[in-house]
Amino acid sequence: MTLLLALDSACASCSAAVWQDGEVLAHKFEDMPRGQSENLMPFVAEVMKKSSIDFPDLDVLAVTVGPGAFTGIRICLSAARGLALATKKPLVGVTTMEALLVAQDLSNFQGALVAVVIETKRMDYYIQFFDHNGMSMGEPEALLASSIAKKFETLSQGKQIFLCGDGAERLKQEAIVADCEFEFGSENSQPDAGVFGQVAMDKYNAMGRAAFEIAPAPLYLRPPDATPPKPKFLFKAAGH
Amino acid sequence: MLVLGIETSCDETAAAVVSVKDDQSSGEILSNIVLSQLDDHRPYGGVVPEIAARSHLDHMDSIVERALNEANLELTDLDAIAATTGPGLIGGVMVGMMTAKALALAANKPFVSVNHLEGHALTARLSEDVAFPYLLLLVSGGHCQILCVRGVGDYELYGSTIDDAVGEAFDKTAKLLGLEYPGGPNVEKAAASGDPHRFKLPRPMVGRPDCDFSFSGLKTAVRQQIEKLSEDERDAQALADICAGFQLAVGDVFADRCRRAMERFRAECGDGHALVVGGGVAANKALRAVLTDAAAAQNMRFVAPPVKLCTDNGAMIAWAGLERLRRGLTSDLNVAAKPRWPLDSLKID
Ligand SMILES: Nc1ncnc2c1ncn2[C@@H]1O[C@H](COP(=O)(O)OP(=O)(O)O)[C@@H](O)[C@H]1O
Repeated sequence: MTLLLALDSACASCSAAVWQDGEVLAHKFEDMPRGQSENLMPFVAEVMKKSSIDFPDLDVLAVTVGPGAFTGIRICLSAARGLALATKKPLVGVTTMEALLVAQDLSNFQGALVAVVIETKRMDYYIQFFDHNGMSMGEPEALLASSIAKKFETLSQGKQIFLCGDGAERLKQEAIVADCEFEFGSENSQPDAGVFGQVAMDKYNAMGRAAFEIAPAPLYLRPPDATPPKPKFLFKAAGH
Repeated sequence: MLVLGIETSCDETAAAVVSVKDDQSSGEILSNIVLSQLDDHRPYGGVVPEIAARSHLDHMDSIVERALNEANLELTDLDAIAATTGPGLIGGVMVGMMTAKALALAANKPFVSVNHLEGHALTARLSEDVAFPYLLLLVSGGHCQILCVRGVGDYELYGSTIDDAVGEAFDKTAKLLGLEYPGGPNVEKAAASGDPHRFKLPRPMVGRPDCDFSFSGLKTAVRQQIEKLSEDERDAQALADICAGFQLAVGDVFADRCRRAMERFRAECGDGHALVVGGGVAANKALRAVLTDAAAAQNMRFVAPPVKLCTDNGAMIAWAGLERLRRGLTSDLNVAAKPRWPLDSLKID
C-alpha cells in the first residue's frame, strides 16, 4: 500500500489530495487565479485531516513543477520541498502537461495528434505534443502561434488535432492551419491533485523511492526578464 | 525556547536557529546561514525580483537543512518556525513563507509570521540586554525611519524619509560614480581616503522641527558636482572626496534628525533608555560614530548590533519570532505575504 500527498498551485487553481494506491482518500480543488499562498497549506491540512493520515504515515509527496505561472510554481514547489524536508519523504515532480493530459480520455481519438496548451498570459503558449496513446513527442516548449501552426502541419499530417488545457481556445483562433480538424478535450483545463496524483503514483511505483530523493526543479520555460545596463564612462578609479 | 527563522524578502536566502533560556532576556544564536545573491544581481546594478525569487527557491531547503545541522537540531526539537511574510519583494517572500508554513504543518509546530522590519527593530534585544522602550533608527536599502519601540508589536513612527531610503541614496550615489552594486560598502571604502569638505553638498531637512528625512536632493547635488568635473578631473581622489562629502552629509543629517527624535523620546519616555540602530546602513562605521556621539550628547545609551545582524539575516527573524512566540503571538497558515507593511500598523489584539 502506498500513501501519497499531492499538491498544486502552478496555474490558475489550487488543489491538494491524499491518495492510497489508485484511490483518492480526500481531495480539495478550487479555481484560484490568485491567493494560492494563503490557501494551499490549509488545503493540505484539510485533506490530511479528512483522510485521517499523519505526515509520518505518508510514503511519497507529489507536486507540479510547471510550466505555468512563475509565482504559482514557486508557491507549490517551495511548500512541497518544505514538506519533503520535514518528513524526509521522496518528492515526485509532475509537469503541468502530464497533469492535464492524464485528465483527458483519448480513447475516441485514435490516430490524433495531441497537444496540451497552457496559457502564458503573453503572446506565446506553453505547449507539448503527444501521440494518441499519450506518449510524448518532445519536451514542453514556449512557442508562438505561427510556430505551432507549422508544427501542426508537419506532425499531424492531416490527422485530427486534439487540444486540451486553458490555452486551447485561444490557440484555435490564432494557429491557422489548412485542412486540420480540431477536437477539444473535456473541461478539465486546470491541474488537479485529485487527478494527477495518479501520474506521480505510477512514476513512484515504476522508478522506486531512490529516484526521487533529490527535490525536483521548477520548469519555467522562460528566462527572467532582465537586461544588464550598458556600461558608461564615469570615473577612472571606479569598478575597483 | 528554540525558534527557526527564515528570511527571503530581498537578495539573501537565510535561515537561523536562536534560543533563549527562560530566565534570560537576550538570546543565543545557534546557527545563522546567509546565502547572498549579490553575484547574481551585480551585472544588473540592482536586485532583479524574478532572479531573486528563482534563486530563493533553488536554495531555500538546503539552507534550512544547514541551519538545523549546524545547530545540531531536528525540526522536532523546535518550538516554532518563523518567516518573513513582508514587506519586501513578494516573489521571494512567498518562497520563504511557504517553506516555513510547510515545515510548521508537517512538524506540527506553530508558525509565526514576522514583519521584516520588526526583525530589524528587535535585533538589538537578541545581541544585548535592551529593555523597552527604546528609540530605533531603522536605516536600510528600502527603509529610513525613526520609531519609538514601546514593546513587541508596539511601534510609533516619529519620522521617515519623504523620498529615497538612505541605503538607496548610497546605492544611487555609487551608481552615479560607477561603483559596483551594492554601493553602500563601496562608498564607505572610497570615503576613507577622501576629503569630505572639497565638495559642498546640502544637508536636507536639517533644522526642521519634525523627524523626517529626505535624500533625493543630496543625490542630485552629487550628480551636479560630478557634472562640473572634466573627464581628466574624474580621478580616484575626486571619487574619494565625493564619497567622503556624501557620507559626511548623511552623518550630519543623522545627527540632527536623531537629536530631534531623542528630545521627543525623552519627553515622552523619560531618561535612561537607549538609541538603537538597525538595518544594512548600520554597518557603516562613520555613521555609527556619528550616532554614538549624538546619543552621548543626550545621555542616551547607544546600541548597534554586530554588522552581520544589521544586514538581512535569518537570526533576526528567528528572534522576532521568538519574541512573538513567548507572548503567545502565533499565526495561521492562511497568512498572506505583504509587499508593503508599515511597522506602525502592527497591532496586537
Ligand atoms: N557600509 C555601508 N555603508 C552604507 N550603506 C551600507 C553599508 N553596508 C550596507 N549598506 C546599505 O544597506 C542596504 C542593505 O540593507 P539591508 O538591511 O540588508 O537591506 P534591505 O533594505 O533589503 O532590508 C543597501 O542599500 C546597502 O548599500
